[in-house]
Amino acid sequence: MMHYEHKDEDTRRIAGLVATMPDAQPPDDLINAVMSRIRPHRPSLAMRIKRLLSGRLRGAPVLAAAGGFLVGALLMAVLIPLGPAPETGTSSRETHDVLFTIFMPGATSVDLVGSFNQWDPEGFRLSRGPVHGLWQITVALPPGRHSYSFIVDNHEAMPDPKAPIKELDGFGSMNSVLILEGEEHVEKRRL
Amino acid sequence: MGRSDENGIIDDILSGDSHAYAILVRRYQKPIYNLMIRMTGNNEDAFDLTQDTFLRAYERLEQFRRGKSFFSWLYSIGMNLAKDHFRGVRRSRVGLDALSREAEFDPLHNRQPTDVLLDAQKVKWALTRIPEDYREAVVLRFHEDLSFKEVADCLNLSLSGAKMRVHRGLAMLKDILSPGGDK
Repeated sequence: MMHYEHKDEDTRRIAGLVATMPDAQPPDDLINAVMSRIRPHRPSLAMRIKRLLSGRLRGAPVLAAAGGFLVGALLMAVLIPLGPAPETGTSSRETHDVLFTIFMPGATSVDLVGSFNQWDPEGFRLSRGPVHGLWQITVALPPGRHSYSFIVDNHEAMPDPKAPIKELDGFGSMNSVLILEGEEHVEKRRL
Repeated sequence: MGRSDENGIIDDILSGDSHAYAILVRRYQKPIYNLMIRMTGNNEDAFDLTQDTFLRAYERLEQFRRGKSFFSWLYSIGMNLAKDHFRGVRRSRVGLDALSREAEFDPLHNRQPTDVLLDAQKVKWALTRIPEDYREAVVLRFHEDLSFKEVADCLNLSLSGAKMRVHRGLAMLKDILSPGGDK
């Protein structure tokens, strides 16, 4: 079906013949040649969250007004390293208790996902803090570089607004980055 | 061109299911391979460039914008790769000559005294005689049956630019196929 009129019959016939030109058949091994050269993608944060929401979290309540209140909300988060945590019986690695907080007065739930929990919010739900609208969770983390994000009301992924370092997650969204130094580095700085 | 299931397939791929990409390769290997045949005129280069196109698209799949046509995006990658392949090198007349031989048509000896010479092989030959941007616009519009919007996306043109390319491409074909048209 042409979307405009050709001025003459020849042009119309040429267009028709272009439509019926024979195609060359691609080699039979083309698909295998491509597929043998690719490696699985590492799912981005957005994709992991999307999978979670389409699966285990699909039935979770979602506030229709979430987007609206987010726009006007005063966002605040503080990240307070509380010093090294005692070693656990299962790991000899040094850890720090890190308090993650975010000010989200309109939220009904906030979860923490990051490289330290394989972006799985299970068991990383923030509790309400001492101030109305403040959410918090303390997580023991080893020294190193940690990417993380908050999930508000089970569907809205957002980076920590107070984190000084952010990075693209490869899918158009931002993650926050936390770099925890080991005890050796802290001691050296004190000296 | 384009299917409603493609966002789901792309989600699967980006979630780590690389095997799902075979669906898209199977679906679009023919038009991409034929694009490369037109661009290079030889099967070996077309095979390599077709692979490269699908591999480049796979590597950049996270950049694909949902709601857009995957084929248009893939095609634009293929066009850029083919142009890069020949950048700095004189346009391969060998390739065009090979296509001309494939068309088995010598206009200097077969031209009819009147009327436009028309059959699919002659049109195929004539396509090798017009600039690639016009040729691809005509092929995409009429052979691949894309909308002007999709043609524009494939060739990184505005909608009006795509219409202009198609109109002018057809006019060029007509000139070539008309008596005295081949210079």
